[in-house]
Amino acid sequence: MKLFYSYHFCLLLLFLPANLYGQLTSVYVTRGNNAAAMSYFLPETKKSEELLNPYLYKGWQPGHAVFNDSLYWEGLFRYDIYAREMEMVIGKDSLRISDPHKLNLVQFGQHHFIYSFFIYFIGNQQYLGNDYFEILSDTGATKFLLRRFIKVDVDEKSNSKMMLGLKNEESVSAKIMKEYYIRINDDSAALRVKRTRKSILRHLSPHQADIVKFAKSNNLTFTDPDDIARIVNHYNSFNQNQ
Amino acid sequence: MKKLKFILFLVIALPLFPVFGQNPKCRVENLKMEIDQDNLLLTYDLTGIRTEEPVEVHLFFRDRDYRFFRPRNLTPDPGSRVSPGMNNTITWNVAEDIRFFPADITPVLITGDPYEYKFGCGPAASLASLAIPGLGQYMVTDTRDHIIKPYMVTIMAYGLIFLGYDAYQDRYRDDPYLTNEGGIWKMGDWNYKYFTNDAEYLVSLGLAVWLADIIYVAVKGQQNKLLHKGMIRTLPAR
Repeated sequence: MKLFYSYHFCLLLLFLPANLYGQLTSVYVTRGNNAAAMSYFLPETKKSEELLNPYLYKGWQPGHAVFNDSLYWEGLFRYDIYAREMEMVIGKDSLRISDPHKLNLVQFGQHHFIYSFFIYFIGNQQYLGNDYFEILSDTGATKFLLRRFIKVDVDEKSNSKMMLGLKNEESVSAKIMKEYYIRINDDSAALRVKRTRKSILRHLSPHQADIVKFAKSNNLTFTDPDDIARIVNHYNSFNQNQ
Repeated sequence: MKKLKFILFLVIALPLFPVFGQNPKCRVENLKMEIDQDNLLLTYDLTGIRTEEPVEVHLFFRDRDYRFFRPRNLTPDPGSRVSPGMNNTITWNVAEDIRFFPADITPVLITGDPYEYKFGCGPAASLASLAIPGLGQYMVTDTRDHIIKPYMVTIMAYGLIFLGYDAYQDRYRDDPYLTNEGGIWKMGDWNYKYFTNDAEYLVSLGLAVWLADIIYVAVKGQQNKLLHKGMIRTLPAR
């Protein structure tokens, strides 16, 4: 049933004229050996308030992207949460990052994004994925990350104003979900954490006692993302001092 | 009495039934994934039950919709023979095969010939659970990891129904009595063996356990069917 709905939903997305996915092309930017890193797409021309929005922000945001070959691109950015894609306008070209593992960092507005593998459990089964993460902690090897994804529920009537290429009268509801992850270093995968003391401490295992002490003295909780980000910053400072 | 003996025989015999769902020679346990730069490291324990002979190991990945794919850049090579033991490792160079994937994936590691591999019976195994609660579980899953063993389900379902029947048999009413208001005769109160409406509750609970087992087996059977179908699609025709 779930498969049917997701298939059905994808078909709707594909064939609706106002949707963006149908406008994407597979023309690659030629830039030396890194030709496969991006592809062109035609920017969205139709604007309709009736459609659901799969982007973090509706409009484009000024920002920059840094690739792992030190290439620096400045332009306008937007993040498609549903398609897990970063789109950008550089000069007159509209591009999407088609090989995001070559990306070091994307920054727009107040947000810093990285692309990473992540691992989570369903029951006792491990799942591996890759997606964009917003960095909530400051600079440091260990990062506290936020992953957004869109949960589409076709059984419920849509109360949302989000634009997912579907009109509001379609009985589809979509909401942005948030999950939190910790990535110990740049070479490892991000691991999903619950916002509990036990879960956070398990991932910051070498300095648990110091972290508990730091959290207590600063009145930090293990449930508030801002507090957890500060705890991870402290964990990083501890590692740097060694 | 004969019926009771038969039920008792089934309860004792069930744990001795062979595990239909898994390759009986080797078993994959503690499958774990870890990322190291562009490589995915998979560690697992291979438990030899009857033999210490090396067995073929094949790695697949599937998404939540049971779409399979077979990674190629593996170390050791796909289909290599591995001796039973702890902490065996497979390294997959993710970057060589796919740069990124749109859906989340989970590993499926099988031993032996993938064409012959059986994930377990299909949803039809629920018929076995329809006959005897718990029996179908032996056909669709490896029950060695289960906390609630299938024979416990059998005991629970039959036991509750039997207790309910027993409570019903021992239920009786007090003698009728004459009321003070107008000299009307009233039926005596029910006397229950365990608690009020005990028979109804116990039988319902027993049937609920039985039904839950049938549904569980049907769902697991359907998953086995999808796993088999998905894996076979990735294999070249022979």
